[in-house]
Amino acid sequence: MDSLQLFATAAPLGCLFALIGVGFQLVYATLGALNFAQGDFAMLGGFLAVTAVQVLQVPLGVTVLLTGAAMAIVGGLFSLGVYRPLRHRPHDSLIVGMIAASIIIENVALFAWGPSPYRLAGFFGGYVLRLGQVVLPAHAVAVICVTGLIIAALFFFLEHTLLGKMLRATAQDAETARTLGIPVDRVMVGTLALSAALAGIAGVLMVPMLSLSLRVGTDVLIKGFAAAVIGGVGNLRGVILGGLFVGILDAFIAFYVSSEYVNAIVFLLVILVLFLRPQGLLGAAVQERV
Amino acid sequence: MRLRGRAASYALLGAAVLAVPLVAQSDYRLTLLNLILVYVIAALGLNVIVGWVRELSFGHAGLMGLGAYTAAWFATRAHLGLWVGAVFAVLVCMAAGFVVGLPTLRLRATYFGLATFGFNVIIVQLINNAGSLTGGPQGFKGIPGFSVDGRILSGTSFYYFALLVAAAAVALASRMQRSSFGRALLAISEGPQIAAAMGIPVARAKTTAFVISAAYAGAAGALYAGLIRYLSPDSFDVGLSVAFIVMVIIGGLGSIWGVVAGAVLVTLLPEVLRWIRDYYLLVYGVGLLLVLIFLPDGLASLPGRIRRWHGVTGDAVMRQHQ
Repeated sequence: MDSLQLFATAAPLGCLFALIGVGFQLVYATLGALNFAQGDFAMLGGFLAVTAVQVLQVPLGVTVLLTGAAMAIVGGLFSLGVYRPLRHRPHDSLIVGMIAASIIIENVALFAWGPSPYRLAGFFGGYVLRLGQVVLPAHAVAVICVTGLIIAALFFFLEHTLLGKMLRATAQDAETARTLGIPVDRVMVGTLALSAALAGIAGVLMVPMLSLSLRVGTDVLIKGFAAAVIGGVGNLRGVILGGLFVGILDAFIAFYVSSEYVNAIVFLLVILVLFLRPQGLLGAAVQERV
Repeated sequence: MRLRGRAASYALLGAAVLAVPLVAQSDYRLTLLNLILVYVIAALGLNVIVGWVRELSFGHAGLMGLGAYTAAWFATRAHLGLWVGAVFAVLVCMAAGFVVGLPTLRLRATYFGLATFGFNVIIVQLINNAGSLTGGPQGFKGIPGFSVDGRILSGTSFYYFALLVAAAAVALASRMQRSSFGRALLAISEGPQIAAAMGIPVARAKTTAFVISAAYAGAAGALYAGLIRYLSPDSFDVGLSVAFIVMVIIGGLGSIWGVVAGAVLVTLLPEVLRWIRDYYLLVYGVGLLLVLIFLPDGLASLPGRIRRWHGVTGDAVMRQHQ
């Protein structure tokens, strides 16, 4: 397999890591805490999609939308049950609360869907595109397009709508935002709902590409961490590029070294980046913050 | 009157701790008791960085694993015995703590958590893949155990030995808490800028705290190797690191006896709740969340709360009788 083919295979996965990383970033910027349940949001989204497609016979396109909505509700519940009671506590209590939520989600998923892995057919069935030497499933192209659309919509939302501006203001300085009359608490609930929806959609799109099991939560969490750090924590555009980069790195390590080592090498890179360039690899190039 | 009551209850508790292996009745329960002591020591170490400095470390199980494998390697492959292995375990863990802590503890709090999380993932993967050194996924077999006078410590004798180590760990921690170093850590957790303005070398103090925390993990790892005498990479994954954090937080961040109680509770809970079987982790997650929300200062605050509640109702009863 040549590098071009590897790139083509890795790009859609990178897109999904970018979506999860963006949700991660939004929550980090507004709440100031790493959301340890973000990977489990993606996993739960994937499982919901399995039920929608296999049991309820909903088409995949509609499932993406429905799962996004359902996960937004889960994100809202998460903020009411975990974030709101713990928001005035020290930082570490909130993080451990998120870990507790992640344990709860994983075990609810275990009861609802069992331990065996699932896989779904992608968009356009098994249709495959050929571009010269490169072979690409149509689903992968669809994933890239859907991700592009979502990210474009997200940027439009953040920069051109009142709600998006409220979110950015809260992220910049919650106290000042509060004195300006922005309903900060509600904005934070909304941010968690938004990021859960993004992760959930990524989860749905992932099921046709990876097999979905309970392990996916932690795996995806690690990739989301990596995307956020490599792109520069607080830097939304950087995180998108960071997600793509992690996806490609993942494919190359799995192909040239071993898939066993992917998480260790990704984390080694994260620690190196933290050590040498704590603002992220792309931190200096793109200064804008969410 | 009240003081005498308290002294009596401490004496009773002490006697119970000393007598418990004699009534344990089965090897399984003895091993569980011994494991509790090992985890108490590890949790006391984590408390230094999580409870006092208030930086979350997700790498404590990885450090403990590093210590356990180091001790086992020196004991078997280098033929130096487990005692020497334990010394190396502590030293190697301190070195690892220094290397991980030095660059990351200067950065924002979150980065340290990430780096230690990564450290744990890397350690487990290294243990899995360095088969010639560690036995790989099949595990490290044939660890000799701690021997005194040619007799290997196990069961009850291991319990009293581990109890001694745990008591030393508690004593060391409470000395540290009251020392100027302990107060410096407290100041850092309250506000690093203010601490720095008061002349505390913040980065150096944090790194020292993490190295001490790693030393505890190394000692706990060596004890674990001597107790179970078989090591598997899965025993030291991030899940155990999270469990250690839960012990410290549930126990009441910073309080030494709270951490001890947290370690005992978190280790015993799966045994006590065995009857709920598959639902255990779900109950554990929900319980953890409820404790976080309703007992913000952890188990350490429980006696005070009960006394206050008791006192209030007691007064009310008195008033009714007047």
